[in-house]
Amino acid sequence: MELKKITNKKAQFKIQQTAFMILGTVLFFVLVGLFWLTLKSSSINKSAANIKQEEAITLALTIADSPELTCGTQCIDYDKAQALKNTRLFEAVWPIRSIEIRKIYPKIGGGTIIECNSGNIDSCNLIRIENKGITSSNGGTASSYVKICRKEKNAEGYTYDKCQFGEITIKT
Amino acid sequence: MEKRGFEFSFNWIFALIAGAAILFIAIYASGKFLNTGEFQQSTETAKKLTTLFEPLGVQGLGEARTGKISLQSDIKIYSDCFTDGSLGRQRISIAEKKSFNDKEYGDKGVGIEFSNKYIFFTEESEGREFDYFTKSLNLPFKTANLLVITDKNYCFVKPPRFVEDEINDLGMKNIIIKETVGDCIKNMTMINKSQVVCFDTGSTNTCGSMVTDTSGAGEEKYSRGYVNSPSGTKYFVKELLYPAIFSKKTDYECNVKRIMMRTSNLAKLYTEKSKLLSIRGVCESGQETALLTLDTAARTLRTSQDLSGVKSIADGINQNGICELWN
Repeated sequence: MELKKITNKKAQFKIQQTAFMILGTVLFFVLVGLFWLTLKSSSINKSAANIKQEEAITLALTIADSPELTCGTQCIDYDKAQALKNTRLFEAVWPIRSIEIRKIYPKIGGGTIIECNSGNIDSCNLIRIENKGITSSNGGTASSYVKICRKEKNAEGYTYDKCQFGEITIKT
Repeated sequence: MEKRGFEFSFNWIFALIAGAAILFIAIYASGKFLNTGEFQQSTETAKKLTTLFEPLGVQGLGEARTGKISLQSDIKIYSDCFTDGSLGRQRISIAEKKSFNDKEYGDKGVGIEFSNKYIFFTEESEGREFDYFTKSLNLPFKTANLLVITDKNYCFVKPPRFVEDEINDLGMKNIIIKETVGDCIKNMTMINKSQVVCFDTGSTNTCGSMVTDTSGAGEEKYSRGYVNSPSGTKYFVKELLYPAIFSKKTDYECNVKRIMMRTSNLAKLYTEKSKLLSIRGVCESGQETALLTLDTAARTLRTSQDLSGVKSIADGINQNGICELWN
């Protein structure tokens, strides 16, 4: 009788030991898996951010040559940019957050940002075209220098291209 | 009598079951990790490729460029084209060769979509080296850059002078020019019929694609025409000649429709610009009606057969010299 009790206790102890062993093994693999997932997701996030930044840089360098904005090599047509702002074409062509075209030289506004509209063409220094459909802010930002040109009429009534030096900023 | 046998204790049973389970999980997980890695790699390659295509999609007016894309591993490119929204979209997906199997391709990665580029692929584009060339299409303003990607060598039989000059000037090494189909076979090893492109010569028995010129009097040769290939008849105007030769009919028709959607939107943009110039008192372009006609023709295009009508309208638009809307 005494011997049976001892054997039972031994068996219970073995079962407990086994249960703890299984729990430990499972926990170990879960922890290893979690660690791997954290590493993997951080590397995916990093490479996604790099790709977005690369995309922003490429766009900043090339967007001035796209048919919707261009007036020549690295030249932005002011009137096209304004027309683009008035239509919803921008959102369809570029899936990016915004384009900002800033006049740098000759300096206008003394450091104050004055957004351009149809009535302040000579006294404004910024055209901002925003895609209201994109709200995420984890994209890239890149800038490039461009020419900003528009048609003007001189005193004799002839049209000419008036160009200013500017910067285009892309936010993806 | 003494019983001889092996004591199969609980420890042994546990070790065997746990060991088998751990081994199974390890093998299954490694397989999954490999698949996930391949999937991630394919997605990254697709995204990098489309970023690489970005500058090729916006080159200057009348420019043409050529080059080679070399990758570290073999890939298969899948292209899907859609005509929804205001500009349509194209989706590029990539499948890379499996890590431990040189013959099979893995699963497609996530497709990368864009609406501002027009990429024409040959059917079943695969390999690790691709040739590309771009041409800008002007109808009459710069509308789009056409990017053609090929993975094979081609032989052009009796092409017109301007095509020959373009191929030579751009140094397109994957296209050779010959006078007869026989010369193509002599000069190219392992040549397939689909790689022979005949310009108003030869027959469907010997040529993979037959290009027919339908340009009228006073027009540049091959500025209108059609290409007969096994995938069907593709009509072209101007620079669309090359995409018509190299891409399959369904992709071509869809991309032509997308290009026309952009033409229509650009016509609207130039109309808006014309109005802005007028409001500012700079000049009157007088192009609003012509642009509206172009917009309507481009928007209502159903198949590439209607391209000829769009070209006629575009050719008829003459810019006012003192109030130019486009360069």
